[in-house]
Amino acid sequence: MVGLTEIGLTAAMGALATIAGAFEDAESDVGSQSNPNSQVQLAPQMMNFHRYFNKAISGEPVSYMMYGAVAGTVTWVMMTKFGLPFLAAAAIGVGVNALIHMAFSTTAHLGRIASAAEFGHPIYLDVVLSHLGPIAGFGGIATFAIISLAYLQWSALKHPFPLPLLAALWGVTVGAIGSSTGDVHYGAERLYQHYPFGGGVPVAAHGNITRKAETGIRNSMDSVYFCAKFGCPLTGLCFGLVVFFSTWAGLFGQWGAVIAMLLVTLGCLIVSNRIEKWARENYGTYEDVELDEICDAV
Amino acid sequence: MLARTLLLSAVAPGGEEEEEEVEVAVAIPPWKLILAGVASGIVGISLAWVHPVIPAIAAIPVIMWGADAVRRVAGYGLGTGVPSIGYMGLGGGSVAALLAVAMTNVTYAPIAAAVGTVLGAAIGALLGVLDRRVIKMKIPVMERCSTEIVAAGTLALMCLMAAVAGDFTWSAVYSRVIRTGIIAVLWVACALSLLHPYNACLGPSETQERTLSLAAECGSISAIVAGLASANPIVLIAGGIAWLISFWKFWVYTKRDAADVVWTGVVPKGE
Repeated sequence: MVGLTEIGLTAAMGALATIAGAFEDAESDVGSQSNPNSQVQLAPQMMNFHRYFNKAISGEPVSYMMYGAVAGTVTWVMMTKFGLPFLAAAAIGVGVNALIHMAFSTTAHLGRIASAAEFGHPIYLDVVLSHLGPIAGFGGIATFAIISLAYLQWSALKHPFPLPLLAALWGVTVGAIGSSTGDVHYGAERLYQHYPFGGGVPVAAHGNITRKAETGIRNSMDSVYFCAKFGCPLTGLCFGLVVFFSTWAGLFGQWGAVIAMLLVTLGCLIVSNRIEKWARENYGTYEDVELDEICDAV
Repeated sequence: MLARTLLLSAVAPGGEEEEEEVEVAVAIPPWKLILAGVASGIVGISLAWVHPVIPAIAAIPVIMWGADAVRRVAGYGLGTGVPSIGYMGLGGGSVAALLAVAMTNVTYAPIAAAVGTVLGAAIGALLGVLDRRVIKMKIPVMERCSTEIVAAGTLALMCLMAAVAGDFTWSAVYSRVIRTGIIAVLWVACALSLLHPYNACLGPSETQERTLSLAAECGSISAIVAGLASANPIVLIAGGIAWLISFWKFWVYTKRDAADVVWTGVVPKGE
């Protein structure tokens, strides 16, 4: 059996993991990273010009490994070489990482859109500048939660691994959860909203992404607005539960923990199903409008 | 093991179809990049004891060579496999780099670095043979590029380790890079630097100059990361200057290659 201190610490780690997961997914949605990225990349070839941000920085696990590792390393250097307290050191680590994150995001978007020149797709600089802030902001919150997790494990739970390595490993984990859980909510549903419920898109329709937003032309920020209501919190919940579940064997015994996990998973399945059914019945399919009705043609 | 290998080759897509060589347009021939990469990497590691800024900056041509090798193999339509081949490069590379560092106990740093690079190349060649003969990927340049990618990954990782440790010896690298966990950030910085340039410039209008300028930019970020990890202001400033120059070059090539660069606009419906 584990003690109360460990349960408290694990609960705090679960909470931090929830924040990390939610903001990681929001960050990947601003840049259409991972799964939706190939569809955004394909759109110019299908002559669907867009104002989405095309942030192709490897897959989410490895890019988050870098953010976690850079922020964790700088935090560790600030704490050990300059004697700063953890919060001040973490603020510097996250700040430095945000700059590197923005550099990678900018080059990814500029490179991909410039390589679509054959189809005549222009680079919109306002798309780059307006999306960089949310990317750095959401990424910063996620990274801060990742290094806080690693710090708790390193300083309070006395994990034998050094802080930069723990931060890198937590980065891979949050990236993997964000990629597997979060992408489900910003894949077919959102990018193919003008097909009935976006589900089961045929290969022939690939690249024919939804270009109109609730108001004006859709950009990646509209996707965050959409995902922040369900996809992001669910990603956070998934990651938080993974961290929290790991101690349940100590609380309920081995089989008790398995049964408790099954019950929670079943509950999540039922809630997801009910919400989707309710949304489909209440809001119906996508209603197409002319582009002139939602914005003035230039 | 043998049975498993045979089974793998049996279930892999049939090998009857002809492999086609794909023409990849180059402004700088590969042999020049290989020469520059190997020379600068080994000289940089050898002079790590003079100042850590030397191996940190020497990593940039090595990364450009590795990124060019990724570009040549990924031109065969790897798509989502571009990031994977970067991790593969550093996966094999980290083993060879660690062995090279351990060898400094018995030999000089330049010899250890050279042996590490050759070992990395051998691991890369083995991976390339497995990819082409067992998994049956239809890429004629797979063995050659895989060899180059892993060798470049090994050399780049050794450069950054030497830059953080301040010397290419087992005691310095073990106490300042491996035991502190900084090897994780160096690993991922190298892996992203190898795969990001081609991955970011993926598309029909990709050009080698733009991809290589982005590789130099990623290499500069790796140098900055080494400067941050060792809290060395000179490495940090040198990396920053290299970043400014390489990012400017990338921006110039982006403006040259892009269909149009505009501040804002309503997207047209393409024809």
